[in-house]
Amino acid sequence: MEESTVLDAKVLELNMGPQHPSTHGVLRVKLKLDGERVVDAECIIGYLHRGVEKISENRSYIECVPYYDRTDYIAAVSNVYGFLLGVEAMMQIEVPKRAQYIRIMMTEFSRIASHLLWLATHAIDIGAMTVFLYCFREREEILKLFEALFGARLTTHAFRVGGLWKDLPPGFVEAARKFIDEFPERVDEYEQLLTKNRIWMARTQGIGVISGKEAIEWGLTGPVLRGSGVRHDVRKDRPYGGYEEFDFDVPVGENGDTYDRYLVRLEEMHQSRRIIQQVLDRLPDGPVRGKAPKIVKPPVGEYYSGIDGPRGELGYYIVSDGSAHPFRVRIRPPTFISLQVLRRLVKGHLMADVIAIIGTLDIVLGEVDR
Amino acid sequence: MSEEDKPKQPQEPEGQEAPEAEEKETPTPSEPSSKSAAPEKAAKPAPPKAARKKVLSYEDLEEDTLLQKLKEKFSEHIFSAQSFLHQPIYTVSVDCLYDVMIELKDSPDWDFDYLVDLTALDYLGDDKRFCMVYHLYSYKNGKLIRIKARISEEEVVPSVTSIWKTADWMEREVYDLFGIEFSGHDNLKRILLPDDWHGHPLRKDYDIKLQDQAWIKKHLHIRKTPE
Repeated sequence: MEESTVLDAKVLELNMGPQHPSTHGVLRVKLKLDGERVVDAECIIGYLHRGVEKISENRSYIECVPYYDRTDYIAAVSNVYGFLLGVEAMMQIEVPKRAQYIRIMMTEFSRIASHLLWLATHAIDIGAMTVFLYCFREREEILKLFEALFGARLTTHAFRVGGLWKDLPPGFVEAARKFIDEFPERVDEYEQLLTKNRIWMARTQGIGVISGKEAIEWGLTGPVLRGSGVRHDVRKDRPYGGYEEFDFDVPVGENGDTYDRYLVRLEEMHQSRRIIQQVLDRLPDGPVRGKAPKIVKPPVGEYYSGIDGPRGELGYYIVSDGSAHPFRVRIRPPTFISLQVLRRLVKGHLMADVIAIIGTLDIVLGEVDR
Repeated sequence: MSEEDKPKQPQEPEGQEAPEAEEKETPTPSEPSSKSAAPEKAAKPAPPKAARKKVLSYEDLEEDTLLQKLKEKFSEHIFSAQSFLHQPIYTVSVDCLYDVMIELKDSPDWDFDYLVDLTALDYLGDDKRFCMVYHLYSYKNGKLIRIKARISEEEVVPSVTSIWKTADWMEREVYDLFGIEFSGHDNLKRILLPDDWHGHPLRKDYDIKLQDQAWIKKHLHIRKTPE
């Protein structure tokens, strides 16, 4: 029998990543290719594992918070929000109305910023360079607002137990209003560049299709689930932190492909803008920090606090043994869960589509690995 | 601020035995907690907020329909139903965990089609050392529940990957970080840590500074990590 050579090989194994610009971090995908077609794929993760859950057990509740900024660093604001909601529920701390409203506003700003970064990188992966520059222009405005309120642009350490660190700085409301007034026009610009763009449509339509039923089975949440036509949003179904007072729609797609997920995220930005508009119109006066003890010691018990982050359901399962340190904090990371569906989605597609599918899942490896 | 802290002090000793207390604890939900908090505050005029504040505890759910249905079907394998902050918790035996899960997912009454989360807790020192925790959600009914099952160190947990595909990586993570084995999982290997790592970091007896020195020496060529 003759020895088989490389040329005989039908299936080629190819490593994509860990250092690959379109994997959005250090994700390694072991692809099995038949020509250009993907036969199988295996994700290898953990390169960014820092043991955030273990660290949490050795820190006080307040000290934990900055670590969660660094899990999903693209949407640090909502990460902190989810954890604090849990701690406040266990401590029965009442958050003043003004603080609640500002929190919702900032979380929605963070959703817009996160979606903009997603759109920018997703588009550049597929080859649309201009959108990248446009998105970063708008994202910069949001980061400036973050800096004005939180003092930091990325790892914001946004909220505190019981409310906010301080009230809105002078000029903030005007700047926020200016941004949301101009924003719809800006989104229209992206739409002009992409939505009816034939290359964009060819690259995204029918790519990575998943049905609603299957999406639920895979535990997908957020825009990835909604792109498949399941109208589920934690903000609507299990309202938290005052979301029930605001009026917004939950956009859904029809086909569950990359294109629909793109449309869903664009519409979500409009809806976030609507929420911010309502917050600014109805922003009450008053304190921004409720009565919170200096040492946070929730009673013995457990609580699951789930919020709808930009990437899906972000859950914190907090178990307290009554001491100042959490007994256990389990972070339910939306992207860790949604990344496992990659294998299912890329099968049968072309190599170049793998990049589009990784992009459409909107993963952040800092959160996947924790 | 400091007044806020004080009522919580008496709870601290209780905290140490939390793991054991978890299962057996039958708190007295009927007693309004504002009363129990009152003695400590007697010296000072009680702030109006404290009167409203309740000391949180686990409350038994006796009337719960899901509990009754499960008890009918699985009788002694269902241990209890409690709620904490209105989040229902069902404690079941690991022997029938898989069947309970199938029942919860497939029964049209419950329809828990979405496995939100799967994780474990380590109660070091207990006979049944680990506790598996599942969060289930039903899209149809909008209900979120928590299923718990205590297991000992040697016990193997039935994998739920055949019920919810999403459990795949979550079980691998639990296996990786806690060292709990799952039967029926077809690709049970480490996910976050390297394959040849020794130890399971989320166990309580794994010190936060502990590292697999052999692994570090082999792969990173560092002889000894600084203290």
